[in-house]
Amino acid sequence: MPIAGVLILTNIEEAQEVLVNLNTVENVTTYGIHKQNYIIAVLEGDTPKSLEILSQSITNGISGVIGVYPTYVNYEDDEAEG
Amino acid sequence: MSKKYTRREFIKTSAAASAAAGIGVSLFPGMTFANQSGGTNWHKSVCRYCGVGCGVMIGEKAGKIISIKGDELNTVNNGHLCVKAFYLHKAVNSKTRLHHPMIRKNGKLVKSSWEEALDLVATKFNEIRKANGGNALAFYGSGQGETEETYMANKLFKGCIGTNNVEGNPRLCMASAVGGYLSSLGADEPVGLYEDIEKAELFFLAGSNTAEAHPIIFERIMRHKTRNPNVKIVILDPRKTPTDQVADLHLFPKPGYDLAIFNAMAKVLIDEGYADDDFIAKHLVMKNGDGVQDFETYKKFLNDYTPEIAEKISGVPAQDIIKAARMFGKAKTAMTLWTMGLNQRKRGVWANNLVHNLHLITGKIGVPGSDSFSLTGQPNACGGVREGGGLCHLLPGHHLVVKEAHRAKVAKVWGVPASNIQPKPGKHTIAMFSALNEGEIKGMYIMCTNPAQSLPNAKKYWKGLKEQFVVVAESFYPTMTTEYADVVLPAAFWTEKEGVYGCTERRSQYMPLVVAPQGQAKWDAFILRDLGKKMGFEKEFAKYETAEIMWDEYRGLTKGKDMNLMGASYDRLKKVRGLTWPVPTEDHPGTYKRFMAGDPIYDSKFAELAKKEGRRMYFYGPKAKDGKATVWMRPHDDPAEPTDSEYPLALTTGRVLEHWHTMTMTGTAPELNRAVPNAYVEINPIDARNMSIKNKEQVVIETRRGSMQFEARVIDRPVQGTIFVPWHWENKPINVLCIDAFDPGSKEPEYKVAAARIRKA
Amino acid sequence: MKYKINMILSVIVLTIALALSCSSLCKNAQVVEKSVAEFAGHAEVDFSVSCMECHSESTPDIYEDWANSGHGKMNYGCYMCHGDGMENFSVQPETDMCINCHSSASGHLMRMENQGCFDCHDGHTLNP
Repeated sequence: MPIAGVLILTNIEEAQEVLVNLNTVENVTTYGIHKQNYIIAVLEGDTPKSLEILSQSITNGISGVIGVYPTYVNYEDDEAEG
Repeated sequence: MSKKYTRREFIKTSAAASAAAGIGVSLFPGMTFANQSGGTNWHKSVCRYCGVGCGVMIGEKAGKIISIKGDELNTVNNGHLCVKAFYLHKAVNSKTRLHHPMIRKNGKLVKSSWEEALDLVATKFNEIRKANGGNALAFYGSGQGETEETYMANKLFKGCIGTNNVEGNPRLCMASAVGGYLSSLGADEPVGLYEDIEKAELFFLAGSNTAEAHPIIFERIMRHKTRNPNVKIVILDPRKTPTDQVADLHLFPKPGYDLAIFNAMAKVLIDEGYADDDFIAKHLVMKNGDGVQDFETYKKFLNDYTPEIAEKISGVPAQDIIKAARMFGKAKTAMTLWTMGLNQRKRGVWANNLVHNLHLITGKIGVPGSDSFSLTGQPNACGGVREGGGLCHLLPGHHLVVKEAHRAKVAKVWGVPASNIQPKPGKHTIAMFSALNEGEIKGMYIMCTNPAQSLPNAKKYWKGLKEQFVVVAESFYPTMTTEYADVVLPAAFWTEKEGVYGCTERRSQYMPLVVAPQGQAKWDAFILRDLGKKMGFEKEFAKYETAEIMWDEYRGLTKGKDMNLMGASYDRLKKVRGLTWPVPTEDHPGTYKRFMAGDPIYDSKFAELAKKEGRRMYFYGPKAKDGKATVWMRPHDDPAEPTDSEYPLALTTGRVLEHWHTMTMTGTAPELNRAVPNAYVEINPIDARNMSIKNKEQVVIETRRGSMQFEARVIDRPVQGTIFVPWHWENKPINVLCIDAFDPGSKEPEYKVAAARIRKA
Repeated sequence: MKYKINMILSVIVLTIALALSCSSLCKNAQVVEKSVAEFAGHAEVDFSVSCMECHSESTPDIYEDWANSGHGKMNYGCYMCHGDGMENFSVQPETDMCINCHSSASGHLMRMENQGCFDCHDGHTLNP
């Protein structure tokens, strides 16, 4: 099950609002606003494709988001874990 | 909280922390990343690659090798690693690892059982032996095999089957150095250790691209020079290499024409008063083909090698030769380091002799910081093959097949009749593969090496590999050699077996078994043992249940020899970072300098005699007489295939930092592949202009043995008239174009010089 | 536990460049259009060319910094810290990677407490 660590760049004045909106999106966990306009978040999905869709929906669907920048993607196979 | 949940949370935290790091924010101070989290067990071992013998720590977690780091307690590398070692865990876990035996059926290699494969090999080998005698069989091993593995091969082939056709790839790599040490100093392997590096004032790097072939040695030299600006470095190499960044002077000879330079340097050293007359009088004899001569004869011989004459022969300006000689003479201490540039030559032994001469006549040997020090290419060429006797004229522990007493001694330990061991040396590597071509050898066992790619003039020898019965024991599949194999046996890889490696500086180091062999892979020594049993030598191989039993039997054979390893038990080797022989007892710390005070053999047997004669060294090796080293008068000789109007360029081959040998290991790391993805040919810009060849153009190299296409790299590296190709890639096996002429003494082939021409593709 | 450690992919980004210069927003927009999957690696380039060959031309300043550093002198290339660019890639390498080669510096690093190597040492010049 893929997990991505991302930086979400926002307009400075809208950062707080974006954070609140993000917290309502399923499969998104946020870790606060940093350096004024960066939100650190972790996205989870069932497939790499679903992560991609989630990333796009944040970019296009939430006002004030300038971009979503993954820094880390883990495709580790949960099945092997068990 | 379930384990699974915890794991997922952990990855999420890692993901968030990684994002935070992207903007320089520390989200969870002190956290470690998922792939570096706790639970890793670290095991002390030795690097699998070159002959430097760096200490590594193998990181194992839950039965899997996950990481490699430098062993900071190891004096060889003080914790540092080169780029190859850093990715060794990827080789262990590579998809190219072979997990089961394979047998060729209807032209195709198919999966088989161990039972079937070993039965087939034993039956075939016995059939060949019965019909054609033991000499119709051969073993071809490796400087990467463990000492224990080579020991088992030696016993099976020389002691049981009864053939001395036992060779290994060190013949292609170190044989000339062995010949040089034996004939000049009387005994194989260097006088000193790496610790001379930090005490040396001058380095003479002759035919060694140290920066790429022995990076950790280069780092030590570089660090030493940085801290001590008076340290000088002279390079002798037909090619500018990354090693040049530390050079004070570079001599660029035409490949194969450097013997005259060494003689000219010796002449300058003597003429200008840098010779150590006292050392010469008490420690040396002068020899030429006619036998012992006096010093005056040597001086007369050198008159044929004035710097001006050497310039004419080699292309190196006389002034540079004089300068190099003066630097060598003026320095209080000097270390010459060399490797394939001198060894892989038709006159490799002579080149080695002439290097030793420089140290002998100036007395720059047997003092801290001075040594004539050959660098080895493989991790156990010294330990397993030179010391372990894995060549056609040797027996384990520096014993010789031609000596009756040696045969009797070894046979007794092996529990075989002394008559089993033939008194005549077997076939050396090139002769062995020629005999395979001709059908004189009908069965060959190849262990841990890839001769189909690595032999010089390689294509010529594919015939024999194809036609005769060939068994390949290998950890990786496929290789160019397995293409020709009738049976392929999966060998346990490094970390999956224990054993000893002996590196360049006479240091024997223990490697632990950390994880079980993958799939059905088996340790090479056990494969050979079990094959021996199946061939009918049940009794002879019954006792070898552990590596330690094999090592103890072997080290017993070194007792009383110049390479005494009696003090190097497994128990001890497991605790220390290697021991440098002679190490006669378990309380002996190992030896820094041979043939002088502090060497246990010298101290117990020769110190008194030396004192009486006013000497500081006594060369007590088997080939020295009266404890004296030999200064050899070796004349200039052309390479086997000089350039001419038809083939006007000298082709020379070598390595890059990121790859090793035929890439079965380095090819498993994507990082190393990306660093140097393809083979290429380096062409001097002036040559390129003359031939209208542009950088990155496709060109065809032709030699008398064939042609091959490469991308041109027009670069100010090879000296004008010389082209260089690194030899690692299977899709561009440059060795096919190399010449298989060899040194008449060492039988080492002349990889470093062939006549070639180039045309646009 | 047989989890596939190698599957952990440290990914891009232009984040750092972005943090330094927020002026090139149009460029950012371009980047955003790329999928997560595409971000899971180096920009698509001709991977038959070595890292160094390309970067000596495309990022000459960084190349120079590296070439004059200890790593450059040893010819330890981009891949040592950043990965091969195809199967694994990270803009900001982890400190643990450094320690595998510089194991004798682990005590020094521990004394620095929660800092990583790159908090003090520049990644390319390796100064101070």
